[in-house]
Amino acid sequence: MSRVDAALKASGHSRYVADFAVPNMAHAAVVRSAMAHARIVSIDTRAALNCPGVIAAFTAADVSATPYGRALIDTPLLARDKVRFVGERVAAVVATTRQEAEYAAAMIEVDYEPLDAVFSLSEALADGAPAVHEQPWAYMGAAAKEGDPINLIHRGTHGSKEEVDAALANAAFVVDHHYSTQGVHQGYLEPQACIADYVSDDEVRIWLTTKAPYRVREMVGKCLDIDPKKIELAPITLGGDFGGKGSPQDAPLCTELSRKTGRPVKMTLRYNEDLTATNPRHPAEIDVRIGADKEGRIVAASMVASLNAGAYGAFTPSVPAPHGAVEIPSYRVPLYYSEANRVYTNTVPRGNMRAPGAPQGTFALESAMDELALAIGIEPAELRRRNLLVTGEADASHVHWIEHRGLETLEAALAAVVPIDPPKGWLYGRGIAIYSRPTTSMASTSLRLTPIDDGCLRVETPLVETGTGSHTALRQMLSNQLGFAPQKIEIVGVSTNDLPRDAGAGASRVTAGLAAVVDVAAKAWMNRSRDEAIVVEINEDSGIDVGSYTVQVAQVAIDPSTGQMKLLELLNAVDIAAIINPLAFQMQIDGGATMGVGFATLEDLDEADGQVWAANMGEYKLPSARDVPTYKTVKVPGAIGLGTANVKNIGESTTPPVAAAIANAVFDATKCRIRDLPITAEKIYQALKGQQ
Amino acid sequence: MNVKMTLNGEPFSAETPSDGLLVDVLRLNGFTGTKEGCGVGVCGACTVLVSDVPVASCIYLAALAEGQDVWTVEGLTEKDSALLNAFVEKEGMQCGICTPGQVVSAYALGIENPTANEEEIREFMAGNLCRCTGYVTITESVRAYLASK
Amino acid sequence: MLISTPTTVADALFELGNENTLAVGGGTSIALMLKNRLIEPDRLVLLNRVPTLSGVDERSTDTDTVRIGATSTLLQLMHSPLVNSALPMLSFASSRVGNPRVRSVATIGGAIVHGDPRQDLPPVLLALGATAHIVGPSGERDVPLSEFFIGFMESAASEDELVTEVTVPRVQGQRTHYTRFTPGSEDDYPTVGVAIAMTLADDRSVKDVKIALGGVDSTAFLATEAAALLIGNRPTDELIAAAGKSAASRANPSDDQRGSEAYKRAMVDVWTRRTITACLSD
Repeated sequence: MSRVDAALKASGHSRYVADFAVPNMAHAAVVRSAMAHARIVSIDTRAALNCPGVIAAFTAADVSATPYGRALIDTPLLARDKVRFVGERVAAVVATTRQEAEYAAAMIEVDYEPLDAVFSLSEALADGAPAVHEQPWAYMGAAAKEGDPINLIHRGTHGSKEEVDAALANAAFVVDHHYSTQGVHQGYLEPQACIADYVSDDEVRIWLTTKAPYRVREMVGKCLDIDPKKIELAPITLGGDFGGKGSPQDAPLCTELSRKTGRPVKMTLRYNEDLTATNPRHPAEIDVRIGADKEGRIVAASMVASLNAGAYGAFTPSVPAPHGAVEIPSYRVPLYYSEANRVYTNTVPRGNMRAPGAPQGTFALESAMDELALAIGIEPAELRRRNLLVTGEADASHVHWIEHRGLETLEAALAAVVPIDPPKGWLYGRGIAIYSRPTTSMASTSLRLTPIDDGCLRVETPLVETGTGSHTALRQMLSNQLGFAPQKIEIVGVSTNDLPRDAGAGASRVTAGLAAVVDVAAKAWMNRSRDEAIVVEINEDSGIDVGSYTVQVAQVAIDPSTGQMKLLELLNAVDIAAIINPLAFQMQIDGGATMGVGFATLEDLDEADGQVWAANMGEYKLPSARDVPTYKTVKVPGAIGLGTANVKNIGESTTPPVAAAIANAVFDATKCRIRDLPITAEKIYQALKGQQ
Repeated sequence: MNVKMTLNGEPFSAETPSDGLLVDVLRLNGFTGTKEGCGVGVCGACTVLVSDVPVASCIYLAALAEGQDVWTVEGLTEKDSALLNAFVEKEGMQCGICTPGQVVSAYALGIENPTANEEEIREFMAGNLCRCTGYVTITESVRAYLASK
Repeated sequence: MLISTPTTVADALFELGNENTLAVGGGTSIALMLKNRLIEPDRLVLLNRVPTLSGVDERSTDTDTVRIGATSTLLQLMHSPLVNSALPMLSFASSRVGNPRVRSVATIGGAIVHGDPRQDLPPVLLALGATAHIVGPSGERDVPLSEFFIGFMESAASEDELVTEVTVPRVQGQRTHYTRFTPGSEDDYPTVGVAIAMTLADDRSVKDVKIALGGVDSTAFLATEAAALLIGNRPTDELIAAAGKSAASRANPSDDQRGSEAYKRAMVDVWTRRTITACLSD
């Protein structure tokens, strides 16, 4: 059986937010700041109000002043008093058609008084740097304290720097290098879109390109002083998320516009708006120091990362160190110091993107591991062998996983590699990189099971199908445990009004979360007294730490005269438990690796002077079918998973190691070490020339 | 202005601004299967067939469609069940937003080069971006479709 | 905004005589500029209903010239038996442009009139010695492509004129090769485009050669000094190297996402040499 939504999607009958219309609907367009940092002197909406079809125009004075955010609440609906990044929402127009709204928005004149701006991490953290936010400690949920560097959102540290410094000073071998990564965008092909229908404080309905509807209703409710339980997020199909659609996006603004105009309001972003003004991945600067003894065993390590969070921190992950960009989950590190700084700058605010922090951190860590192997004089794989964790050991942050299968996954990868001949005259190189990641043990979701005619089962879920096949996995797991044939199970997405909870897709929790709720559902189904619908929900942490290893081997060919690189093959060895849907599972491996290829070699928001210059897909290059290497997958079965379904995460596993696997392969081929992304032909060319 | 065409085999007419684009004419008149992604003709989500050739409807003036034979994903998959079945059986999609464009391009390839080999399929279909799948199942869907012809 | 749909060249010219009026071939460039509010024409003149503007003259008995209607699409060029046999570099380059959607609607006339230095067809047509036939209110004229690209996004055809035809000489024994260097995504404009058309004498010295470059100046251009180094001589490694250097020094590239000025200049050298060598290989 194919996935539950295959025929709908292939025939064009799946409905995404932009496809919906509601009666009496009006359209909104937004005026965006052309300045990175400026006081708003005045906004003249008169010309816009005279344009055809215009219903109303709004500035900050006309809308709620309450900011919104996830943990840190610092984002205004419309810029108030000053703008903090190019692209920030400054004003909004509502008109009877989208074209009319956009035309009128272009007529609004904003007068700015420029302020000094900070764009880079060093500028933002320098003494006397201009303040992006005058009192960052004053926001609800702020981690910043008065007296901290003015643009520091949060500094998380783990371990003792002094102890690590001392151990490194005495280590037989030490590497100490700086790595940097560029701004990249989630690249979902569906632009952000919203329809908000405010009927009253007791009845609000929203269609939003979100994967976290319950979180959105909380945030919209808090911002607009509406009871979240009266805000209904309608079920939708999502056209890709990759972390970029977890914020409320324009729902607070559209709901406010609907409230003010008395009509439902729809706003669909143009893709250049999405690329330049939503919430892409944090650019990072990472210092890695690793020390090893004479036997090549790590004695101490330090990772210090600064992440450029942009002008607002509301959706920047603020998990404590050492997560994300400064994790060392796979190796034995007796002494570990990590520091993760999230910094305000006058650039586009950053958010989550597939494995937040990990592609940046893994690039740095796994490149540094190869540099350490070189210093010691052993093969990169041998250094890994001597330092990969085995079951029973704690990782660098003292966390115990139920098992570690890095060694067997490494051996499986190496055994499966078949060298490929490069084109004549090209250099050949091979590189490895390792990444591991836990499956979140926290499960929070709900289901309604209703028996219907002909021995069928109707299953309602508030979990948004983001494309990963979660609804299909749910059907399969229910089939396996409740005894219905898959074709007898109907999966229906429902609104937040219809079921009590769901944590939202993402964070490597979906499949395991479904496994947990299916376990509860199976028990409830067995024990039901009458043949009617049952509702089950789960909101608990199993406390079992299950992790997955990915070992990647990249083979590359490089034309020494031009620096051009061909990715010959990318091999993914993945340590697995049960697989619910093999095709969907494989697509997460290949799709995740493709996103890694983009990060490593092609994608670059090209930020300069506070602006994103790669403002459309002609300039921001997502990998095409011709840009991807051959993918080879090696499965290492036998792992312990979660729930009766015995499942582990895969969706965020194959993106993080790609950049280092390629950088290590480039080094193997050329003896040139490239420590900043993306790895372009030009960088390789210049590095080769520099060698001569 | 009013624009008239044959759409999915039936006569069709709609009002549009004179600088309107075909993607909007379709989507505002009930044919939401065609998607707008990048808006600059690069991603391929907006692909439709116009007089037997694939066209980026997001940068195709509605005025140019006057009098033409236009097919969208809805019409092509209804007319050609092998096309729909190939993408369903091979699961040539994840989130599905690029899928209509992939399907229409596959159909166009079936006209342009029905005996396309693996390399030629990849070359032709490379103009349709996908952020989810890594392209393997899409290529297999196209191969299965061409094999069925 | 008004839309005109003439069916003859004369009618099209009449419409183009209006103020603030633009001609539309495949319409992709115009649609993009309209979307971005870069242009606000009062009128668009669609050329897709003028039959005499479209198509390759397949049945021509003229063995010296290939005549191509200005609104011929790249797809038509790819499929034209005459273009494939007489001008394989043109059919090849057409097949490499963009993606199938672009090739369905983009026209040869649009490719040269639009004047985007990154596009593939201008250097190819330059190397082939093509000529644009222009018709306007003050009459008709032929402009060799070497004089047609006068500046960034600017061609020799003015707004009230129409390119009706592109003619390309048929040269016996011509060796051609087009290189489109895309070190990043393959689905992108080339960082450097090199188009070369060459004929050799019996003694394998270079009788004639045109070397055209795209993407490395404000327009596509002929590297005439590089070509002059080769003409009349046997193409030795030293001469090829000198031609590469000459082309690189003539180039005037800009920094962008596809490469820095220095890198592009270096690539002009490499790819000019390699394209010459490709032409010479049997």
